Amino acid sequence: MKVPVLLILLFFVVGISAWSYHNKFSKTEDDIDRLETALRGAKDVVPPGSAIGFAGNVDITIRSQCRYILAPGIVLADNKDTALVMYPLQDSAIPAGPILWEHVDDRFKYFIATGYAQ
Amino acid sequence: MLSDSKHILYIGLGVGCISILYFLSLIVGLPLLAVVPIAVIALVLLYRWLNKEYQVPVPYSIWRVAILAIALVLIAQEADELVEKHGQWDAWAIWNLHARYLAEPEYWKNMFQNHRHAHPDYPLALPATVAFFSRLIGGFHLLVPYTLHVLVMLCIPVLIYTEVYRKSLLVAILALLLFTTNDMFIMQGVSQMADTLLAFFFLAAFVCFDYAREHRQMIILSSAFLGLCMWTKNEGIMLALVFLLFNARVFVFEWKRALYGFALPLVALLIFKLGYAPANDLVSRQSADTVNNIIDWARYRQIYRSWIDIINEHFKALKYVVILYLFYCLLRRKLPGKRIFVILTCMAGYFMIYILSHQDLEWHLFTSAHRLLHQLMPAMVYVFACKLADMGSKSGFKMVKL
Repeated sequence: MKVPVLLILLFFVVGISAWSYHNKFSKTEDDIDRLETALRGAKDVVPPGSAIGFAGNVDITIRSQCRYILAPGIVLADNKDTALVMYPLQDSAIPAGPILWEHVDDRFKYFIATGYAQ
Repeated sequence: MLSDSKHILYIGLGVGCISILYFLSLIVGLPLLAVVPIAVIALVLLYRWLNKEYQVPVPYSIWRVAILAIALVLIAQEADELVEKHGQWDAWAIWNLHARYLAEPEYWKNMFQNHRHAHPDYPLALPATVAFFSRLIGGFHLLVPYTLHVLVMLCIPVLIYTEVYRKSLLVAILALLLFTTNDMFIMQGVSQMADTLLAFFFLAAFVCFDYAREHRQMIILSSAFLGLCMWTKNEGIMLALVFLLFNARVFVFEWKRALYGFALPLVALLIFKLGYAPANDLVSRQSADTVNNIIDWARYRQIYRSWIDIINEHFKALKYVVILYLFYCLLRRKLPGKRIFVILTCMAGYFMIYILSHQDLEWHLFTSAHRLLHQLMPAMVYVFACKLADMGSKSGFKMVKL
């Protein structure tokens, strides 16, 4: 088999596959995309290079997705005074400390609040 | 070695080379404008060195290309069905998360502040490559990890095909069929996790080592791929050590060549592990419970049961090939080859990792057992394809020639 044929074939299939992936997902939104849209405002409040805590009433998947979305500028760490606080929409809880930013979407209530250091 | 195979191996070496250079450039704070020409020069030199000799010309055959093309299209089509936008859990929670950090030279060290569930101790071959290409296009984009993963995934059946078809086209086609019909392989291939890259490097180490008897220079390549296994995942360290152990005589005798191959990945790994990464949780959290785990026979049963279920569900065809081969060995009263022992020992090593695991065993098995078997599957297919092709040619059985 001539080498260019093999490589052309390989990269042609890879190219088509990438194009198909782009077409399939460029206009669709999943949970991570919705979370990213919701947290856009938080990035304006928390300066890049900061580490903030995480609190509230959501599972580890949502917490990890938040970390993924806020990276690389904002780190979710333990024991920080300022925290990203999230509650499910039906949960009536709100942060006890001063609120710097808040947002609501069809799944969660989001806050950037202070007073969370232990 | 065939030039076709060399080009596929070159893709693997290119990924490894880029990831190491990019990681080292982050440490010394080189701008991207300086990294790109260095990477290009390194890749050109690597290409020239790789293609200096040992090229066996093979007659051009439209059928061979057509068969491969059909297989690649089928795999890509299935990948399109199975892919998730952000990849599986570990993809965004670990691998793409790390890539996002590494793509930002100002904040890349923030990665090491994520202690819970983000595994900042995982080696960087995959995220550093994704980060490099992300920076070339102006920032992290999901298309970069997806494209890289499809390329790596397709390199695996192509490498096995190009290596086996010169011995037996029929066996090469059967190997392709195994990949095109294996949803687990394709799903993991586009899961955007590092298991497929590790599987490719481990396979490449086997392929190169098979040429080491005739061409000692191939020891450099085999060592380089073993080093890249280490630089891809922590499990890769175990795979490389098992491989080295079984072939210790060759690697000790040819220690200089082995060192040439290992040097760069090993230096990068040592800098990363000693200078930046926190301790691996599996190692650091061993305690008195470890002894209890070792003598808890229920754990052995649970792991065995889980593996059997995975093998029956996802690797059934391969299972029958292995059983048939072992039966053949029994009839001929001979031991299975050393390469098969290497893979079986790696499996035994994985088994012991689960025994020693401090995590909830059911959860640990559910989230990772299929991926560990996926890492070994391409090497296993390659070894058995070579065995079958050799058996066919020795017994005088004429394979289909197109």
